[in-house]
Amino acid sequence: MVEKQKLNELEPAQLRPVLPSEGLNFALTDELDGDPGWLGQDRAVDAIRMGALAGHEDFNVFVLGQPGSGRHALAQSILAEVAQDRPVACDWVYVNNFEVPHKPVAIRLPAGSACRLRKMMETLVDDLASQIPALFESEDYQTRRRTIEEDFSAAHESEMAEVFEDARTAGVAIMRTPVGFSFAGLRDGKVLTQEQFDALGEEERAALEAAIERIQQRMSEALQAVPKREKEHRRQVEQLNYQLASRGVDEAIREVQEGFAGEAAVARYLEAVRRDLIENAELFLIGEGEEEAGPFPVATSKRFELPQFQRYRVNVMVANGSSGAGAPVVKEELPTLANLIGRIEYAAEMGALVTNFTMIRPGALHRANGGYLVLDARQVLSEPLAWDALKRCLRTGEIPIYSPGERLSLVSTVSLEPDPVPLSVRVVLIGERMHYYLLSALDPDFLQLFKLEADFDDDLRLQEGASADGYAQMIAGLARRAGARALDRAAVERMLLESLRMAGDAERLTLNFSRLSDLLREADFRAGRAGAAHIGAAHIETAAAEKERRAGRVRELGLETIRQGTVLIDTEGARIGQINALTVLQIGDYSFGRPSRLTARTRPGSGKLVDIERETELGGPVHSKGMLILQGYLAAAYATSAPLSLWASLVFEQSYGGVEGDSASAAELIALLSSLAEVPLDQSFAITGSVNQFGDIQAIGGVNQKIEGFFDVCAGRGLTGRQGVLIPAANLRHLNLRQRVVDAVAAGRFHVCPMRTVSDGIEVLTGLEAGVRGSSGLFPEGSLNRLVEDRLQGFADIRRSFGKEGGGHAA
Amino acid sequence: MQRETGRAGGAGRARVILGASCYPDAEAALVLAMELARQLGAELQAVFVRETAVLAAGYAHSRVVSYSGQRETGLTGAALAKAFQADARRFKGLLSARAAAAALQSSFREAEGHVQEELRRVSQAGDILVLGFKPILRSAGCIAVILAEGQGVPDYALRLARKTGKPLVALVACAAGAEPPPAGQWEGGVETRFCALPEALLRQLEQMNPAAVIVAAPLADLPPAARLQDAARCPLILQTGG
Repeated sequence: MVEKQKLNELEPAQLRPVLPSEGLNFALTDELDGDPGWLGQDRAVDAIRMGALAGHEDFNVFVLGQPGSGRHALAQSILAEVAQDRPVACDWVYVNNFEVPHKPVAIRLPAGSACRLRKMMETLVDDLASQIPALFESEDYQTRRRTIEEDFSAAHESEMAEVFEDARTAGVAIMRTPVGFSFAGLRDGKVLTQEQFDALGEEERAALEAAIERIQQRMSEALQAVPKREKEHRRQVEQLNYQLASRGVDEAIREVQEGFAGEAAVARYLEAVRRDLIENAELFLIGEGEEEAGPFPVATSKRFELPQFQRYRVNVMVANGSSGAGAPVVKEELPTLANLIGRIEYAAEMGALVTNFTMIRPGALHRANGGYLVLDARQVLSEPLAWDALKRCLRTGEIPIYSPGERLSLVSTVSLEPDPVPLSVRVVLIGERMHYYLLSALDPDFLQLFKLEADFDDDLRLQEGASADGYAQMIAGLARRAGARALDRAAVERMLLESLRMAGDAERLTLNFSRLSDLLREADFRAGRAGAAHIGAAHIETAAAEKERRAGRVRELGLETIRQGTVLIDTEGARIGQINALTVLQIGDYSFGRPSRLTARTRPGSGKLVDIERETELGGPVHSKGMLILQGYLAAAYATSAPLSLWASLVFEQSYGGVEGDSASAAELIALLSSLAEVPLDQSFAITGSVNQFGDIQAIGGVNQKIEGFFDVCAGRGLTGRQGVLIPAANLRHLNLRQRVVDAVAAGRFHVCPMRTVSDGIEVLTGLEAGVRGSSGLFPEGSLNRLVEDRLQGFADIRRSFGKEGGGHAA
Repeated sequence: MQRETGRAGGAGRARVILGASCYPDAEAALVLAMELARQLGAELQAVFVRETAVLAAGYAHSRVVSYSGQRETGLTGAALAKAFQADARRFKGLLSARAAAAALQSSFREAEGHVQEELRRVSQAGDILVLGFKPILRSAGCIAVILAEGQGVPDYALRLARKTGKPLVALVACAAGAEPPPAGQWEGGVETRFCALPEALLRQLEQMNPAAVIVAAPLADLPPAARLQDAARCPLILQTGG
């Protein structure tokens, strides 16, 4: 039976953080402006601001922190603030490349000019659609054209007429045959037959032959001159058309040229347009029959929309406007490859896919060019080829447009190769710490391109005055943004307590605004249900409790199995080699503690410490490390003059899942010592703590949940007044226990006791002094350490005697 | 200028008779002949005439200039006869295909002699005769219609001009020695030129580069059809009396 000892336990006031007495000088949060600035994130703010202002191309920013800490809001807020004082980014358009149509030309324009250029080009086409047909229908053109036609035909007809006249005069018949013109003698209107020809006198025949030869030669010359005449005719007609078209085009395009007089690239483009318009003036003569179609008069028809004029369109990629709104800040929510770098669209025509420069679409990099682009790291890394494309664009300083098929060389059909747009952008990538560390370790490009890290703090140190006041401002702001009721001062203090608990530290407030906002909104709901005008501490308390209740199904099942005795946990009495260890389970964002029976058995052996969890591969490496540390403590603390002749086994009873961490190593050590000393341990207590090789108790995690877990088991059976939990003294700063535990401690029905060394735990659980080795080299008589050492010495003797007997038999 | 309406045929079904002595001439005139046959609801008869004068003038066989202006030598009578046969086959095939596509009743035969004489021989009053001739220049200017003084432009001439998209020019044959009115008069969209017979008329035809010439005036008052065709160097359309 363990003797009742006076416990060195904590007072109720030590079980919860002490809030600063100053700083909360308000009755309701309505009195606060709700803008504390970016509380506790000075480091991240400075990094983002530097990234926004620095001119270096590779000073892109990676914002790392936990979700819900306001990374996106802070980044966009700072960027928006900086961007409004920066110059408006220029516009970008794609226009047709008349020389090489599959390589559209990118043109940079002053902000606000892209739409103006597009409109002016549309007007130009519409104007020419009316003017050019009118020019070609004009009397002047018709007259000049008729003159050319008549001159052309007259020259030929005149020559042919002379040939035929000469033939008639010379008595030569010109006949048409399948192979061409044939020439024969003509007498009295009849063609001379062969016989008649042969009957001619020699002179007459010679004269006739000469005449035929002459006519034949003249006919040949006249016919051979036709292609040359036709070519000259065509040339004259083309020249006439060119002159006429030039006149019309020059007049119409002058307005556009004057409108963009200072832009060299636009001037080059307009010169190419001018040449193309003149060479293809016949495009404006197509479809004249459709003028009467539709209810509107011809003058208002949108001719620029016709397919033949598509070549003169201006594809506006980025139009930043001229309203002085500053540099662009773009957040791309779906950073696929196409959404980042743009895409080329295709249309199906007659079973084939066709495209042109008007079907190029901009991506986020185009829209953010000259400004800032905000991306979520996980989304970028999840989208195929997006990360590769982003790095490529940042590295090369330009935006090429290609499809995934082209990137992977799966597509080899001819498509567009638009000019890459030069890129000047600051990218702010927002992600979690894991993303940053993995990218830093595995991607050699990452740190070259993202030289600034904006590391978000997870929590804020609670100091007197300033931070509490700022935090209250932040809570007021959260409530206002959520549309919730105002909080009274007690509710704000309760929120601070919850924040400290979320941070797991009595001196640090969480900066996870998302979780705070969730709690606040649920409290507002509770207040509304209660018909309250504002949120009070009780509503916060209820919200927190309800959240735990919603998530507590597994926890309650666990308590039930313990209550039913399915899972064996003792909360009173004493037993050798058995102790209540404490574990924490996490499901989602909810964690809870639960006691677990840990047992130890010992016997003489060769110094082997069997960790059954490790033997069955249920123990993780940190757990195994704790066991080895424990072995080191034993070997150095006891029976050092003899080999450690111990065989021991340790196990978490009725645990069939994985075990990790060393927070139970103190419990394991004390259970082992109990088994060795054959001294029972008080089952009214549970213990948590990590032990080092010197027996010092080290801090562990989840101390609040572990205490509450054991408390709930004891409370479920009825508190005896003796029960409690032993915790590391180093965890006192983390205590933020629920009210039910604090009340029980205050009533003396439950105890929380700090340990600095394993001896502190031994004394509480065994009722014996642990004992300190004296000058004699021995532990005090009756101390636990003495009992342990004596037992180990006995094991060593047994082992020695077995060794001798084994050797004697052999002899 | 009055327009004359009414069918071009006499008793029985009207006929359009197309004559040619080579395939190029036939092809060039077939479009006109089919349009006339369609307009008039007439039967289209095609006659391929082997020019016997050419075949008989053996000395002329070695004196040929192709339609592109190349001087050909060494052509024999046999080769020329085969060329006639080949052209006849092609003409027949072209007629058959085009007439079937246009749902026109057609017939084809071959003859020997002279195109104009053969057509006159087989024609009846009311027939329209089309003498084929391939214009040398690809772009021809107008449709010319030769009228007697006071004669109206036949309806089919107006329709033909409208269908081919060519302007119609009326050449009014005046008596020789008569003072013609000023040229270039317009009435009803038709330009009228008065031409004293025969030289002025022939000179007009030589200079005009027409796409076709329609002879609506009585032939007896005009130069011979062969002379008219030599001057115009295009398909000639004759309207026989009726």
